Amino acid sequence: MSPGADPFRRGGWWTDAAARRRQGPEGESRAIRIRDLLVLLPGDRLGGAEAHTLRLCDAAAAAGVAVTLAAEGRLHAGLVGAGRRLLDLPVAWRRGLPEAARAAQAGATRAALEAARPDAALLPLPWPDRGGGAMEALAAAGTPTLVVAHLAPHGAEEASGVDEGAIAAARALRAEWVAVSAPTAARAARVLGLPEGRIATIPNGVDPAPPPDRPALRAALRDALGVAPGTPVALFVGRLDEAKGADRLPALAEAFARRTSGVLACAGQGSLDDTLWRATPEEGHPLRLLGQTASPAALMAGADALVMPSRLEGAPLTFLEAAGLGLPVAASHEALEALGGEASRLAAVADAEDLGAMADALASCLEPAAAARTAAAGALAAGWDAAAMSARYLSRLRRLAAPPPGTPLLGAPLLGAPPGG
Amino acid sequence: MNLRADPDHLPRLLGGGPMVVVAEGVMDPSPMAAPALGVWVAAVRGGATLLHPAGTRAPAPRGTVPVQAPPPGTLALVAPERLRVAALARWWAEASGGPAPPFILAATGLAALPDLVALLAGALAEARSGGAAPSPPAARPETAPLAPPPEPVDSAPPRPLDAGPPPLPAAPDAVAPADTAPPAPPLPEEPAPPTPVAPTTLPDAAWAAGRVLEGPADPVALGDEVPRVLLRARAGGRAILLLPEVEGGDGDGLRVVLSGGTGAGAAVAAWLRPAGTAPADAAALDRPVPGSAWTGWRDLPEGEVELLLPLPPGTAGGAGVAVGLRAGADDAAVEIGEERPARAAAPPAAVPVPPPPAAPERALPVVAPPEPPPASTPAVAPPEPAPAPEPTPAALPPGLEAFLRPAPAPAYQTPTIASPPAPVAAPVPTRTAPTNMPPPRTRARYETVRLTQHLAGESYSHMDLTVASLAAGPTRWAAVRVKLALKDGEPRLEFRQAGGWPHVFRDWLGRASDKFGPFLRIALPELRDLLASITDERDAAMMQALLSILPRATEDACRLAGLSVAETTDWVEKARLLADEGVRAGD
Repeated sequence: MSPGADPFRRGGWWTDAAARRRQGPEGESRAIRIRDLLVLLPGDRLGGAEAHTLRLCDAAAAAGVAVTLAAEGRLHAGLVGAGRRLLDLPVAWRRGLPEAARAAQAGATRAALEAARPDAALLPLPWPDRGGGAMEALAAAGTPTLVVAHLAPHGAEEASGVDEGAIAAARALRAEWVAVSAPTAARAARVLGLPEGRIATIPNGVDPAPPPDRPALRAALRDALGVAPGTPVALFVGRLDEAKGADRLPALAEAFARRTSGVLACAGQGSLDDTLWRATPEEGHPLRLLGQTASPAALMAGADALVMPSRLEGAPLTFLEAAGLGLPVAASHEALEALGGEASRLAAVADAEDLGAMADALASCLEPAAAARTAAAGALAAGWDAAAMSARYLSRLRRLAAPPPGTPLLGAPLLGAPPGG
Repeated sequence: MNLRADPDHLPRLLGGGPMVVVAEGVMDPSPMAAPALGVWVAAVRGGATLLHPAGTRAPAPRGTVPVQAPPPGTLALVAPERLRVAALARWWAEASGGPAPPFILAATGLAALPDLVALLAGALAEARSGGAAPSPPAARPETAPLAPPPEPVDSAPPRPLDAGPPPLPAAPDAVAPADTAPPAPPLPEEPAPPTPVAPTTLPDAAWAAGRVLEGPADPVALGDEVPRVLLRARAGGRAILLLPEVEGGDGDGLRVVLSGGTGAGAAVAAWLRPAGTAPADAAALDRPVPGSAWTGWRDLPEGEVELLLPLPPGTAGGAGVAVGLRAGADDAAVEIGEERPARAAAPPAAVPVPPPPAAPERALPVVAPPEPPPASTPAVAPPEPAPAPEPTPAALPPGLEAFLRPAPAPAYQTPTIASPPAPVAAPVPTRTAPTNMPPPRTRARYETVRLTQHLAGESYSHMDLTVASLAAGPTRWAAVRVKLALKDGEPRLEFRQAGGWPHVFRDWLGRASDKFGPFLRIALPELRDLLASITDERDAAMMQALLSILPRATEDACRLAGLSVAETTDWVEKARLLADEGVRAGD
């Protein structure tokens, strides 16, 4: 090829002469590649952590990585997708004695490793104590692993599945550790006995939402709730459990109604389903339970405010989605912990234990003064791009391809060594 | 080049309709698709490049036929790396005798849109102004033609000569030295370089053939992607990679993009050495030679960082380029290459970026000053940059403008949003006062009452109630639980330290305990003394607030317990006795 025909010479600079001699026609060199990725799902349900994981699977598959997912068979229906191979294995963490659970999960993980023969593994942890057995088997096999902590408790006693064996496995694992928020990273490291700072943070991202047909969705939501067209509607979206503060919703709905004559629509299901149904027996209670909904975005576009009275959150994806849609948010300090000191600039933040304060915050979302917060939150959400997030995870995965630091390979890289050395 | 397609697709492919060709690996190209714009995917299979419409599977190679001529309606080639379409562009230029379509660097369809729209707008403007050629103009380095156009052409030059430099994409870290970076050592004078036109990025893959001067540097890749080099350094250590013989050079700057950096206190740097002076080892990099340049050690941010090396003349014969990572107190690592989807954060190509308010003396860290200072500028740079002047587009040479453009913050850094106007309004008023809120002059208020238990007996009865959101002025208690009891008709209050009882007393005055734990029981005659004995101000305020709302809270509790009007009246009167005692104690 003559230099003139080289398309990259246009800019004046192209490449190292030696590079071209070494590279094949496709620009290949002696790179270490991750071609096969094993993804282990230790959760027993399909939630936010699993959705996040599937996104990473797709990003890896788009780069040409063969992805194998190991999960309980009953979860498979929600995991099917192009470029994903599924293995039906009992990798979900069993409750009970940590030692027995660890052994069972390690066995399932060994079977997955045998079947997939991966170059690297991806282990999402919906709770820090769900992966002890997987870590044990992965460490024993020497499989480099990207571990992603999605949520972590304030106290180690709430992660009772972590025993000494799990802590030893976490230490032995050759891993890139990532959490979805800085507080989650710190707490997960504490629970798993990892050094402070060992778990890095990659904030979650959201896809930019197309502009919704707001008037139509507003009308549809009020119609579905059986309230008058102008009725203020606050919205809760999420799992109905105590971590999300769902137990606070009945009183909060009443307090919101006292202030605004509005209602609080609640989309989601969980362990508090029955409790909430019992708490709102009478017709016309301002808490309206909608159950699981297919399109939270449509609800958000039709509502006046989002409320997040959580006690524990990893990355506040619901907040980002609402922010992207221009929906004002009232939240507990814990819900927006990941945003640090910025939170009160982006949302009406209150102590969710204090019913009146939380209701005041929620009602304040209907005031014109909320617009500045909502605009700031929208700008934030625009910057937390899901594609950029995936790229950062892939960078971590790529890093696992390099020889492990601390081995004799360190300092003896694949690339050409210094002359005479 | 073996370009092939399904024979059924050839009419559409060669029909001249507007289209873009997207390399496999660009995630979700669908945002580019439009009824009038076709999106075709170039998939490499077994040595052939297969063109097929986006959204369809790549055809089996054996069912395809060669595409003899470049699809004429192609507006752009889109790929996450130039190398992905290098062979295609080369073939294109040779087969058509003209330039290949502009290249758009994008990892997703969405990220390609700004450049694509700019191309279309350029083509439209050209058509309106009578330009005959359908070729769309290039907008910026990422959209520069992959192949050189033939010598002077009438139509569609890659960039109008008088148009100044194209706007650069987001430059997260402009070349101005970091405050913490050591200055470049002085060296013998060199002739000023010609005005840089636009910096060029070395293909990521070029680095995979580099020579390690220090520390580990490994080419790594996922799946089929082009490998990128990972530099790693132990705490306090370094990793430096050298490309000793970079070819070419026409006065443009050279850009090195690094991403995925980690490690507190880490820094990165790039060096340039003229041909023949490539360093034999890392120590040689510390000994500058005439014509050499370096960026200084720059703090490594978490996301993408860009190092720009201006190129003095005389480097046309080739040069050595090195890039280094220096770890701080933690182990550090960084990839050579872009964080691909971050393109979305780049300014739209059509929007001219005003020059930064940079003082000229914040010079490039190049050994030879690239441009003599303006006549009015003191020969010795002042220690502090002058206050930001008004943007003066003509003040900087075009190339310098590109170099000195301030960097937009990477998109993922959360605290970078501009502050919204500070709220000037008074505290937000609630829309309607809650029905059970006291009049504004009342000192205390509460949100609601929850009844845990109503026990009714002959000589003893109680209401175990929780007052939610008790407030006195700005002081608040999220919840206060109290048992209001009647013992032989005499009211008394009971507080406990136990599960389910919110912690409200900062200074616990209870001295008694039973099988349920410590408790504080206050009969009516003891109330005034107890109130007087409270030394903690917050505790005292809580008691006063609770007593003042007790009659109304008791009424609420009676309603929740379903008591009759007569019973309710009795309870409220007993509560009022306690409240009145509280008022007297406060007098």
